[in-house]
Amino acid sequence: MLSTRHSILGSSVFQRVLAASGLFVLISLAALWVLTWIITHNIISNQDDRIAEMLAYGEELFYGDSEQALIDQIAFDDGPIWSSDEIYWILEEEHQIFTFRNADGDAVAGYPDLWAATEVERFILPHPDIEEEVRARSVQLRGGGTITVGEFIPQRYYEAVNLAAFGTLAMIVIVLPLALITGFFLSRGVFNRIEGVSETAAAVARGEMTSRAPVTGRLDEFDRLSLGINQMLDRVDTLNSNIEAVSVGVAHDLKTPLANLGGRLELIRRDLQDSTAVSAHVEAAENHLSQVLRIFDAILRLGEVEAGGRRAAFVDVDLSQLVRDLGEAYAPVFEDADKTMSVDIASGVHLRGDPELLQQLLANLLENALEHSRDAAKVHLRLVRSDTISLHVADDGPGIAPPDRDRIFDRFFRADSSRTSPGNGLGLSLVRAIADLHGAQATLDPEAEGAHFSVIFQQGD
Amino acid sequence: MLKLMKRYDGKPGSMMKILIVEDDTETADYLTRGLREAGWEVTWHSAPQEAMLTLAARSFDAIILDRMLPGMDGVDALRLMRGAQITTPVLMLTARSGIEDRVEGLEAGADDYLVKPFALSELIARLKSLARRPPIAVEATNLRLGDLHLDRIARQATRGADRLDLSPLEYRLLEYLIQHPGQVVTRSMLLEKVWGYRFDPKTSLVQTHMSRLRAKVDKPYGQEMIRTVRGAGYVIDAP
Repeated sequence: MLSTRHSILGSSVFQRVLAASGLFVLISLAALWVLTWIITHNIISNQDDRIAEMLAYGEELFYGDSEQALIDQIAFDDGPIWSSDEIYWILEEEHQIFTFRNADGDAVAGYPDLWAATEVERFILPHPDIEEEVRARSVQLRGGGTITVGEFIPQRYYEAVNLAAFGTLAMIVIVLPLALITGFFLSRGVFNRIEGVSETAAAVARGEMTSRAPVTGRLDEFDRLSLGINQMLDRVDTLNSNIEAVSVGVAHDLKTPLANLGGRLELIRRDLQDSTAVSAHVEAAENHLSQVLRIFDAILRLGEVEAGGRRAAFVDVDLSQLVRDLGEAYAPVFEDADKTMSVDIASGVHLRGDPELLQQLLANLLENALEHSRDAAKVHLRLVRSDTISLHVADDGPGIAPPDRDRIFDRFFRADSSRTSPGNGLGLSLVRAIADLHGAQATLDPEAEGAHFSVIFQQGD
Repeated sequence: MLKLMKRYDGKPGSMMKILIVEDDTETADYLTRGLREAGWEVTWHSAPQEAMLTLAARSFDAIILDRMLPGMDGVDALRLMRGAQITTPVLMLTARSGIEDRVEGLEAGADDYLVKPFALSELIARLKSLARRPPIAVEATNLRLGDLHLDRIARQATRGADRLDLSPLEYRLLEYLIQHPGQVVTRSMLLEKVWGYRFDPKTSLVQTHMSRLRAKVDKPYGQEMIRTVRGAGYVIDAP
C-alpha cells in the first residue's frame, strides 16, 4: 500500500491538481493585493487632496483676510492653542489637525506638537496617549510663518491591509492543504481505476491472455476505456486463435506433400540408374510441390482479400454473365463426375465488385459441391434478384454435419468426412473473405437437406 | 519435357533471341540454362540501364523483365523502353500475385505476366506465343490449318467438308489453338486467354473441355491435330 501511496504522490493527476491549486492561489493572491493597493492608494490620495485643500484655504485666510482670521478659524472655544485632549475629538470625528506657527517657530494656534516638512510625511503623532499615524504637510508663509495640516490615517486603511494579510494567510494555511487533500483523493480515485487497466495490460504482457480490465458498471470514461481494451483483447484473442489454427493448418497441410516430396527425392537417389523410374519420381515430386505452392497461393490470396486493398479496383460487373459463363465452364466437369448441375440465372444483374474474385468465389463454391456432394448428386446453381442479390449453390446430399456447420468457413477447417479428399480447407474461407470484401454475406443454410451455400449481396444496381 | 519443346519449335533454323533482365542470379541462371537448352540465344542483364544500352544496339524476339529490379522498378524500366520506341514483346515476372501489380504491368506495356514460381515449360510456351504473335493475323476473318477451317465471322468451324458442331466455348478454344499452330499452349494460358480466369481450378476444367473439343475435331477423322504435351499443355498441328 505504501508503494501505491508513493506512486499516487508521484502520479500525474496529483501533480496536476497540485500545480493547478498552486496557480489558483497565486492568481487569487495577486488579485487580492492589487485590489488592496487600489483601495489604500485611493484612501491616501483622497487624504492628501484634503490636506492640500486645507492648506490652500489657510493661505487664503492668511493673505486674503488677516493673520487673526486664520487664528480664529483654527481656535476652539478655549483658545487658539489645542490641548492634547482635543486630539481625541479630532481622531473620533476624522477631522484635520492644524498648526499655525510664527516666524520664530512658536505655535500661535492649533496643536503645538505637529511638525511636518513641505512634502507629505507619514509619522506617529507626538501625543502622550494616542499612538496613531498621521499624514501631514506644511506651507511656508511670506513673513516666515508656517501652516501645517495633518490627518489621521483612517481605520479603513488598516482594515484593508489587515484583510489582505489575513486573506494571504488563509490561502496558504487553508486552501493549499485542502488542494493537497483533494488532489490526493482525486488521484487515488483515478489511480485505482487506471491501475486496474495497467494491471490487465501487464498481465496480458506476461501471457495471461484471459485477463480483462475491470468494469464498474458506471459506464463512465474509465469503463469505456476498460470496455474498449477488453474488446481489443477479445479481437486479439480471436485473431491469435485464428493464427494458431492457420499455423497448425499450414504445418499440417504442408507436412504431407513435403514428406512425399522428400520420399520421392529418396526414390530418385535409389533409382538413379533407371531413367524411366526417375522421370516418374520427378513428375510425382512436381505434383507434391505444386500442392505446396497451391496452399501458399491460397493463403496469400486470402491475405490480399482480407487486407481489403482490392476494393479500390471495383468495377461494374455483369454478375449474370459471370455466373452463366462459370456454369457453362463447369457443366461438363459435373457431367464427367456423373453429377448433374441445373442452372437458374436471373438476367441483367449488375453490381460493383472485383470480377476476378467473384469468379473465384463461385468457382470455389462449385468445386466444393463437386467434391463433397454424394455420388450422382444434383447441384443447383441459382442467381436470384429480389431486394437483394443472392447467389446459391446447393447440392442434395449428404450435407454438412451440424457440429461442423459453424466452422465450415474457418481456415483450414475440414470436416472429418472430407479429410481423404483433395483440398486444403481454404476454399470456403476465401469465399467468405471475398463475400466480406463485397459487403456480402456467405452463409450455409442450416435447414437444407444437402449443403446449400448462399452469398447475399446487399447492394443493388 | 524440354526435348518436346524443341520438337514443337517449328522452324529449326530460326534461333529465338531472348533478353533477360533479372537481378536474382539464381533465377537468371535457371532461366538462361533452360532457354539455352531449348535452343535459344540468351542475353542476361541484371540492371535495366545495361539492358537499355543493349536494346539500343541489338534486336530481340522477346524480353523477360523482372518486376523488382535494383534501382528501378520493372514497370518504370518498361515505360522507358516503350518510350524509346522499343516494341519487342515483354513478359514480366513478379513474385507477387496482386491484381493491381498485374494491371500496372500490363498498362505500362507488358504483353504477358507470369507469377513466380512458374514452370519453365510455362515460360517457354508463353514466350513462343509472344515472339511469334503474327502482327496482322488478329484481323484475319478466316483461319486455316490443314483441312481445318475457321470462319470467324460466322464463328463456324469445318474440317474437310464437315461442319463441326461446337459450343461457343469449344469454338473459342479451337480459335485460340489455331492461332498458335505448332506451339505448346498451357492450361493456364487457355484459362487466361479463353475463359479470362486468373485462378487455378482444382478440377480438370481445361482437360474436360479439351477432351470434348478433341472428340469433335479429331476423333471422327482418325488423324489427330490436337495433341497433349505431358506436363506442359496442348499443341495443334496440321495432320
